[in-house]
Amino acid sequence: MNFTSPTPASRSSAPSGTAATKMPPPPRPSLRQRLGRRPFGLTFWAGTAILLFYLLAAFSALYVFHSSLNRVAVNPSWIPPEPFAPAIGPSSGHLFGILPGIGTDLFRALWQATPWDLTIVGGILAFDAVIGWLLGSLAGMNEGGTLDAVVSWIGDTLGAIPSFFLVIGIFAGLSALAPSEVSIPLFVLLFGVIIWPSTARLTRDRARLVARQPYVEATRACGGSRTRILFRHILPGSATSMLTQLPLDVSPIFFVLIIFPWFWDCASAGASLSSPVYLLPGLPPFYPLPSVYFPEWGNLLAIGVCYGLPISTGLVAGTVYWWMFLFPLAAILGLAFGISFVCDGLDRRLSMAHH
Amino acid sequence: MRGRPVHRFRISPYIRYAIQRLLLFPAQLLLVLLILYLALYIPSVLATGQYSGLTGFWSGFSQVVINDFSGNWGVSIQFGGVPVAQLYAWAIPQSIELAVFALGFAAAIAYPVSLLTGWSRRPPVDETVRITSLFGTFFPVIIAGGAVTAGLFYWFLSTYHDIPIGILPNSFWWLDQGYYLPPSWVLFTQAFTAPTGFPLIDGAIHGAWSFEEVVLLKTLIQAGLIAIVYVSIFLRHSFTIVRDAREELHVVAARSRGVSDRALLWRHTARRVRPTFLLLFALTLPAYLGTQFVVEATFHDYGLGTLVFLTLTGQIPPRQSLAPILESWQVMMFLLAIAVLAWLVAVDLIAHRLDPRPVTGK
Repeated sequence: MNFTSPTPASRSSAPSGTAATKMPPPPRPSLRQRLGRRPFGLTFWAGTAILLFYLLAAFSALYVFHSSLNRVAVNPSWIPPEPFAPAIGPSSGHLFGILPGIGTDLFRALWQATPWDLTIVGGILAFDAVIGWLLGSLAGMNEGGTLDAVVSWIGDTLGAIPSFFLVIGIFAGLSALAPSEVSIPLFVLLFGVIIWPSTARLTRDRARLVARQPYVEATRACGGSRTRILFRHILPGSATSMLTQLPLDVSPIFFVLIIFPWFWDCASAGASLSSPVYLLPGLPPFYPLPSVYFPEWGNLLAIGVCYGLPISTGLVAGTVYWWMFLFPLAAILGLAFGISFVCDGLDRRLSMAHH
Repeated sequence: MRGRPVHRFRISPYIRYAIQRLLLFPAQLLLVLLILYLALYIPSVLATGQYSGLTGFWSGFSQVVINDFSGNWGVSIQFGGVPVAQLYAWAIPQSIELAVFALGFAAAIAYPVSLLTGWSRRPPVDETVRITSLFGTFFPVIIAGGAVTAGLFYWFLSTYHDIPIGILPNSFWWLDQGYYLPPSWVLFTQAFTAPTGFPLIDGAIHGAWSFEEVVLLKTLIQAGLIAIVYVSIFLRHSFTIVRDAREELHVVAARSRGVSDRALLWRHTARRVRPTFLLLFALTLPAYLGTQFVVEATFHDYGLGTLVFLTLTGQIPPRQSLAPILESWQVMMFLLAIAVLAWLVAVDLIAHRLDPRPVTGK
């Protein structure tokens, strides 16, 4: 039996008693028409522009620093901070000033760090999105089933330990076995694997609602396979939850990259209670970056806060060297806002499609 | 013939739910321990070639479980051989005292702000909340803490003859008060207090009212900072919850009956979102703990936060060997997991009780 239904146009135009003439389907709207019907909005385009700028910076850095991408250029005469050497602020020669401690030009170091940071953040978010979205959707689709129980239970248990501490802890354990060359890929993989429960939890709730929608029931009644229902309806329908959570997961990544070098250099109990640290900064043990000279925004910000913001001595003894922490901070915030704007824009467009 | 009705003992759905949640708790703790054992302990044993097969695996795991539950956590080299369990017992009250003030502030700000911003239908409010919450989420706490410390330093020093670093006054302040050394109830010069470990309570017990004034002010400054940072994280989710609750049937029905907007917001919607806010707080507890730990570390308090970072950077146990560091990490993460999981269970049960929606089903 053929249950092919006539199009509304053919139904209305077919005169009674005569054979229905098949009308051609309406033309598919062009890309411009579709975009005009559900525009992306200003925030999406602002986010896209920011991310394109970062991508441009990353590719140009790959070209300019191709022979020395792993290490910032160091000038030993810039290393001693105040009061042993004058602080060099932004000027035409050094656009973002000089970062003492490791003695490097901040503009070049930040530029050099762009491909590394984009890779780290992009890699972690990719793992987070794929695992969280897929497992959350599968759990929501099988609500009350074994898979749902297992995913929820593992997610809740993993989520009980703050992800940033768990990542550093487990990284330390695994780095005892893994060679140091794979430390950054291992860190990216581990972070992605540990951070997914928050994404999965939100996606699961959304997938539960989508799985009960009449069109999903209809597909099931028509014999649509579970794989088809998952890929055709559940995953697209629950993407909004994943897009809401994804930008928030940028925060713990930079938290780890900033806080451990900062605590190690600046805030360790013996070093800072009585006197400020005027030492060459180092990295804590079991940290993913190979050395303190590795170009990475979080590491640069930690050093900048250590030397630029006189936490231990206050404004009485020290001066605020704003450029040392403001520019690395702006680089991190810019990327985070770019990702958030793009995700928010996509989320709104998808929400409009569903309503 | 009809016999006497049989009164079977029936457990209420709420009690049944509570029992289920409580039974899940030890299983979750065991899973946490197994994850930590597999990820922290086994690689270090494998790396040193000391792995002794499956028997060794299970005996090692049971030893870890026994040690963790019995408080056999080793000794701290940095604090003169003090047992780590004692160190935690000193540090935890200081962190709890700070958390009480910080959570009080956070609740006082987050509850009305979430309700008001979620209730508003004006796009500028929506955009402002989104941008503010994103800014609060991404802005590193160490910079906020550093700015507060540096900004208040001179004023604090000139007014109280103390620096805003550390919850307890420093040794110069005690000297200024006429003490050559701090009194005996202040341990390790300026790290902890006795007998309870809560600085404000211990100060009151010993009648040290100027000490109370300084400690209270420092606590309020740090609690205010934690609250502001945490509220911006909380707000990102909470205002969406209110926005959804605004459209629910009982609110729409009450509006159609002519109930004022004020009553709709503060009675109908507020009652509905209260349990969800509690659940949201439980879900964002790791974020709250992270914020408080960083603030404690920034201000150099000897609370749980500083201990956590000292442990994670390998400064509490001897640094020559990997295994003791990993064991101390395991203890610290185990304690965090107990705190978060216990809080999740408690909040789940409270939220279940507070939810005004009727329970349908069996």
